[in-house]
Amino acid sequence: MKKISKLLLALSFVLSITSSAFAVTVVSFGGAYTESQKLGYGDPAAKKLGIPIDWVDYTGGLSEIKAQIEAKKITWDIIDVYAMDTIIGCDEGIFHEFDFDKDFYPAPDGTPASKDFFTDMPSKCAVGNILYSWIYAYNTKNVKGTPKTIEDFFNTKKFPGKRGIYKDALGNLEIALAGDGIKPGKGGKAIYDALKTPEGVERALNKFKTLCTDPNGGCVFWSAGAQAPEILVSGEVVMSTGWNGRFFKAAKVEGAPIVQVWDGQILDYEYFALVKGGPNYENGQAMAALKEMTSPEGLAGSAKYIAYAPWRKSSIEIMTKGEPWFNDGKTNMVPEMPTAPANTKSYILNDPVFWADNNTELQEKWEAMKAGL
Amino acid sequence: MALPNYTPLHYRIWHYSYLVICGLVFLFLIAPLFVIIPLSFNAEPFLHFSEKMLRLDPEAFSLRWYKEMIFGTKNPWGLATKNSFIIAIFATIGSTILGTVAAVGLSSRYMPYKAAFMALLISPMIVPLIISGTAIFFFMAKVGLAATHTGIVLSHIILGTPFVVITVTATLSGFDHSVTKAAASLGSNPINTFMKITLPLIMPGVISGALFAFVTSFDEVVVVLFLAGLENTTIPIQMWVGLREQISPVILSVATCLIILSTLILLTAELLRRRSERLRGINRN
Amino acid sequence: MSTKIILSSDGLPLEKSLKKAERKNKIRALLLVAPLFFFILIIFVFPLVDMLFKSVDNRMITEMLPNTFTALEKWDGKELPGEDVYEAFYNDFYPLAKDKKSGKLFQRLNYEKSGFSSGLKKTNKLILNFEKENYKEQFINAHEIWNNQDYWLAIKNSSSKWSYSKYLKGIDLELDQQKKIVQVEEEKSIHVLLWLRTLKVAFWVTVCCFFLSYPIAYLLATLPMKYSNILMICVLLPFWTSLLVRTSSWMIMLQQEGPINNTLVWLGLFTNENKPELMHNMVGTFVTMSQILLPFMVLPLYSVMKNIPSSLMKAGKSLGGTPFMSFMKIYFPLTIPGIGAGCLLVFILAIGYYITPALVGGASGTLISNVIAYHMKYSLDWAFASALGTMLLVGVLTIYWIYHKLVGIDNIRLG
Repeated sequence: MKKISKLLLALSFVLSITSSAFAVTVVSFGGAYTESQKLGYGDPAAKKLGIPIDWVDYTGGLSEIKAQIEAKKITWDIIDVYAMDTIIGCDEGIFHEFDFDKDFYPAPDGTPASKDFFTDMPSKCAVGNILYSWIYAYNTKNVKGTPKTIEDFFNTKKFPGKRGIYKDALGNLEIALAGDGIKPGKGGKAIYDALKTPEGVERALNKFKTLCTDPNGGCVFWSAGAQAPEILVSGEVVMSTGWNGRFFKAAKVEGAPIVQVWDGQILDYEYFALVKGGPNYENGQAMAALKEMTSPEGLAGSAKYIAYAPWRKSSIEIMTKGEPWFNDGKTNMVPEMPTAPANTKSYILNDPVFWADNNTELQEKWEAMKAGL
Repeated sequence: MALPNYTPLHYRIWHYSYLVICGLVFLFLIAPLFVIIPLSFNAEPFLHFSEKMLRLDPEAFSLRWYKEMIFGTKNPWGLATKNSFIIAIFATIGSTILGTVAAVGLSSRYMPYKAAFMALLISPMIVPLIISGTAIFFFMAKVGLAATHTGIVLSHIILGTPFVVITVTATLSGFDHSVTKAAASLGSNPINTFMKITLPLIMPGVISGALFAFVTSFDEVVVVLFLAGLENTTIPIQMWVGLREQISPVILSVATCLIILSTLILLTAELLRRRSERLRGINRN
Repeated sequence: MSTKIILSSDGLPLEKSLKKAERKNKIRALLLVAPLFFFILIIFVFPLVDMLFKSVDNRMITEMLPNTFTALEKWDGKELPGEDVYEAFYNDFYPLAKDKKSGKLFQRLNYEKSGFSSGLKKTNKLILNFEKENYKEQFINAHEIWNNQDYWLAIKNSSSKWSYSKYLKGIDLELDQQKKIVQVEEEKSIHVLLWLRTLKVAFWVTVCCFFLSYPIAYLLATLPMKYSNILMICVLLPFWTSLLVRTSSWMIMLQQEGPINNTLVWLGLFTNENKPELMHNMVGTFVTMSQILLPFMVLPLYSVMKNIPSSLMKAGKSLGGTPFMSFMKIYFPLTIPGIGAGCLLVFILAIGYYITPALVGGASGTLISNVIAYHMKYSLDWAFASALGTMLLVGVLTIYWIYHKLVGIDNIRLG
């Protein structure tokens, strides 16, 4: 027994030093999206810097990183976060504050980084990554007729069957109100104005409560982006909200019978944030990796694999010049982007400040609604 | 179970419908395991039998997900398998040693407050995992062992020992103490007696306890979910993440491998049980 | 007559010598148990006790806002507190905001009363530019919660170092401003519902397991060895197979277009359009949990039935009982210890189940364990998670105690 255990101890020691403890860990939403990030800019950056980059999946929110900080064991370096979380994380001192022009590459024509972004960053701790959208899609095999509007998503009489819905309040409350007949107005201002009142929140929650308890309807909650196309294809639901890139990939690449509906889409930004005190924070490797990944070429690279718009103006230029940009060599990517004119006839622009301020309370109410179903 | 000729008709009907019911229950128990295996050869990236598969079209089947499992680009399974084995092996060694020694003490005629000690020692089995996980997580975070192999191994030792204690005390209850007395009267010291006489005789119980401990650790997900960091990911964690988040048929390939593993463990456990029965049969004679 | 004291070989009285030997054996036995005993004490029992403390520990907040609590002591709670309280709060909050350490405070106070989080976040940005006078006015301008005495009461109510409010919250009660126990608002009272749902699921899963396993345990116990050994594999293989493997297989079986539904359609029981929904609802939870926990019922039943001599039933029949009657009067009572052990195991396991309902139960699969996990991993209200855990633990121990009184705990065997 002693010999065996000594042997095992030696073995485990050998194994533990061969594992990549020094790799930079980037946390993102998994599936097709992480794949596009890894292939588009993760691997090239790792190759250039000679630092391995590990990709880890999560489903959004800051609780996991906070739990790591509480347990005094931070294992994440860079997180792909929602806009609201960059604000919250910055205020609570979880993330590093950037000096954009010094920390990131300028555009190829020399424009400093901060001028190359589409809009101002929501906080000093965020660097732009992609622009994507929350839309819904349906399975043509299971839906009779063609849903066209956001109201149709909630119309169980015309389109009976279960709906796939994101696990958190973020994004859902907006579409509930849009689906309940509130016209979004310019960039969805009317929706957020309504959500700032308790009645508006109540109305949105009730919309879901009705949908989920309707015998002709019902809800399946998804937590990871890959689940939305999965439950659509497996027939678990007839329609599901989701992220446009995932639906695009399932429909275009895997040939699934999925159609996207752009009416009432929520345009949203994704950012990277650098964790203070992460394993590669002090040695600067995490920052170096982030700088490479968010270069104009890097960001454009990810759009080769998924239908998300890169965050830099110069990246879009690179794409336009390089069309057909998709990695199948024949699909033009610019029209597939959430920002394409055909897709933005009626849209809501996610308001990160609203969510940063109210997420805790809204999420609480949302969870209570879900638990009571 | 052939029925005698004189069995009345209604009893016959009852008897056969009883057998049918039993058959259905057995099917209910075992069938789900076999659904996974064909689907793990799916060529599509969805956990769903495609129409082609149902027509047994060879195009619909492939080793895509097995390749992905082993050579995939963003592949956690190698690390997870390594961790699972390291953790399970160390946890098994720990709980087997601690559990066996304690069981020997518990089985002693002279042990005071036997029932109370027994209740305490098997309590980790009784307490729902979610509670143990919560409590152990706070503790490990406090002593700085959260997200370390050591922390996970220690908590798995806790979860595994009750099984060892139970199986070994059960074996010891049929144990003939006169042999150890004989050894003692021949001048052997207690440790020597234990190693040379008792241990070989209770070995089947020890090994089956160890198997339980191994499986407990290898399969444990709740406590690890709380405790593990990136470096400590295990197969169950990856399965959980996979089912909840990635939804890729790679999970099914892994599951198929795990079914093979559990079949092997089952066979070992069965052989041991029979050996133990034989040994004890000899003892009784 | 003087009784002669028997002496042992070393000259001591035999009685004493025996006692000494016995004591030595006792100590030896205790020493053998000691390592595991202390191991469990330190790594299991101590953490459980620590969890109990965590559920009532309120010191984090009292350490963050010491001045505020001192100032609030004199406040009667009838109207907005005076300038001194605002100033004390400024003195507590300003350094936290400056060093970006206020995140925990947002979270902690928001558990106390919803609305703190956004109010504090807004104030957090503005407080850095506050002038050093007229604090009350500046706070009220920064956010409306500071103009609402309910929020100040919530702060005052959390001023004691130890608090049992998390336990109240666990059963949908709370302390109101007069420190009276009242029901929480209806839209937030979900915990009682979840406790009941958990009990309901555990109860029905236990019942299902019992009715499914009794016949097969009987068959296994009465068949000749060579057949029963083969059938036993059907019970043991799932038992040894990973929980997640079994759950994932059920996730496939129960799909809308999965094997079960396809079979039902093929048999003509349902049409393609109105196939039953088997997953993401209670049905999924029941079916999956029953299958997963079934071996825990079969094995104890089998080990009890194995030891019932078959001659008993024959005797019953020969005395004129119908098969049914002799079964009910003779066989069934003898299996009660097995039933007890099996039901106990299944019930306890089911009550703490977390993984399976989360994956196949959909929204209705939320049981109390999921809530504990949610507060552990997402809301990070560890005190509340601890309180729920402690309540569950007390429940489980009570069931054990009742079982111990009724049947005796040493009946639990593993095959």
